[in-house]
Amino acid sequence: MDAFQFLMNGFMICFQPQNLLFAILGCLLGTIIGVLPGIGPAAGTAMLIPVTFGMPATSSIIMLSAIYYGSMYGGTITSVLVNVPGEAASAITCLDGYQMAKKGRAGAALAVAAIGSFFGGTVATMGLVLLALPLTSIALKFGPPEFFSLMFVGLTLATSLASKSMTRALISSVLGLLLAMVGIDPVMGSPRFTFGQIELFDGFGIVPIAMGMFGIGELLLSAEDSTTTVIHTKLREMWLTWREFKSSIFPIIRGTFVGFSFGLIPGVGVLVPTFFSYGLEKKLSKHPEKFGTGMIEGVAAPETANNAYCNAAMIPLFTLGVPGSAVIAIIMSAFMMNGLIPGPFLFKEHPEIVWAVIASFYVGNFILLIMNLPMIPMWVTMLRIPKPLLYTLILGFCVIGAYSMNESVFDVGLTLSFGVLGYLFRKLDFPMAPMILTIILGPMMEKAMRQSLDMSRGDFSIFFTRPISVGLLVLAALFVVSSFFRASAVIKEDTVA
Amino acid sequence: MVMFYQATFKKSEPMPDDFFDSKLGYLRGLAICVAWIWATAFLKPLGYRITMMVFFPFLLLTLGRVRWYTITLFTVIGSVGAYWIFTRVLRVVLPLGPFDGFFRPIDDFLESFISMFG
Repeated sequence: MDAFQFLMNGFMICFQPQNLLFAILGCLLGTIIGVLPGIGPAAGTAMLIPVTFGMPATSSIIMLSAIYYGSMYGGTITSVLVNVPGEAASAITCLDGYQMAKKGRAGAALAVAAIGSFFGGTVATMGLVLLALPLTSIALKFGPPEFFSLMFVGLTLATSLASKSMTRALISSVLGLLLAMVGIDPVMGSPRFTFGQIELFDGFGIVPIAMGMFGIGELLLSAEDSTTTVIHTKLREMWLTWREFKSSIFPIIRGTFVGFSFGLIPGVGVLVPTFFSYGLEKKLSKHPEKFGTGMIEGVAAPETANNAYCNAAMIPLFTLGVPGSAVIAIIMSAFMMNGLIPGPFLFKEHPEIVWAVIASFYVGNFILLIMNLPMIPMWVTMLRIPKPLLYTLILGFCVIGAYSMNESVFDVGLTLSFGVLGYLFRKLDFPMAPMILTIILGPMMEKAMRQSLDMSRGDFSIFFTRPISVGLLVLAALFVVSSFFRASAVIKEDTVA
Repeated sequence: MVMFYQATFKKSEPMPDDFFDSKLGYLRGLAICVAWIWATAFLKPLGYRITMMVFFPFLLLTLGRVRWYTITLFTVIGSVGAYWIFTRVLRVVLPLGPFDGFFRPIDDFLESFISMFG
């Protein structure tokens, strides 16, 4: 069977009433998560994992994926209407989206975001369909040294692109690596840094980390601020003018390309493609000075890139088994909870599940398009929920989420510890992405490295004698060198200032 | 190398502008931590429902001004209601406590109420 036939089978499974219902429910919950400030996609997805426990594998993964891309779109609504990004990826949308809303064009901004997200997401899913099987056959040629080098590239990128301050990004990465060391040694089988705690034998789970760092950390920070956002925005005209539509076409196409390309590289994170596509539009525009005053291109491009990235980021997970971000890692843990190991063998062993999930991306993007525009007034009403109620509700959900994953109160305590860490990271302006990614990729990287060294009997040259591995390491070295120059430039700037 | 250079030869970076916030803000953050520590400590010995019957009103009272009937409704739904939905409908395991026998009539009532709708 070729990819098209597999996809058709996937659509048949996806259109089963219960799967369709879970996709709609996932989009709805995801949008709520995106709209509500305080819980981003990572914490929200982690928090809602228990809801999927009783479901069949396909339905639960469809629902979690729908929560993921639903939350990505939900963040846009608050960025445009109240200048508060529901999640980090929508921060750039505030610049022009909010200005458009102030001019009475909020409807147009949200419409172009929905259209762009739909287009970007659909094209990226097409790319996933076309690339999945060829990439899987390439991935089968990957041995442990290649996997190690690939993950090394991911970590290098995550560290070098995470923050303006290289020092902070490096501290975050190193802390992540340290935490990734906790647990049973993958080769020798002896416990490391567990201090006799049986709960630490498996290392730190991604759910308490994501929920703590992104959810509780954000709540602790928001709790400091007692001001309540007052919403004055009126949604008058909900559709685009012909001129606005014409100006958005090329930014949407470029945004799709940018988002898709960055999604293929594990470790980049969603902020990079959105900021990159905004910068690109500004550079290509005849009126770059007008960006930030309500240019529709400034909304169309980053929002498209955002959704294209989200869908394309599934490619490394499905084909190589390497998660590129915290949310993808949570979806990966949902796969594993259902006895499925993401990677090249997944397409061979469970094609029905994988293709149903891929088909659900198309369906989910369509659901978001038709569901979100008419429901915008409802989302805005949700922002009027008093903070104490909202925070208490989120915290209650987090307690259930943290406990039920392993039925462990240790995880509940761990979630608070990571919450406090996440709060301090935010306060001190440390990037969280490098730490989270090193915690996720660290154990996989270590295993790949130790297996490689076993293959070469301890000889490190194995990483430099295999063509794919050496190519990837050269790429990583280039990223390191370029970020070193960037950091030196920042230091020079600071010295001059 | 960058870490070494900055740590050795550079002055430490200043605190971000909004680092020191209001005292009341910190107290709200502290309230969240206290509630969470309570949940961690008593979830197993007291069970989900009793623990959350303290957790929810404590947070609602400390995080802002909320009317008493909202607190009552929120606490009942968040503890007894959420327990029933998660354990019976979503099949998620939540800890039982020594006093859970008291809640059996409520569970039975909810069970029969739902079964009325098939």
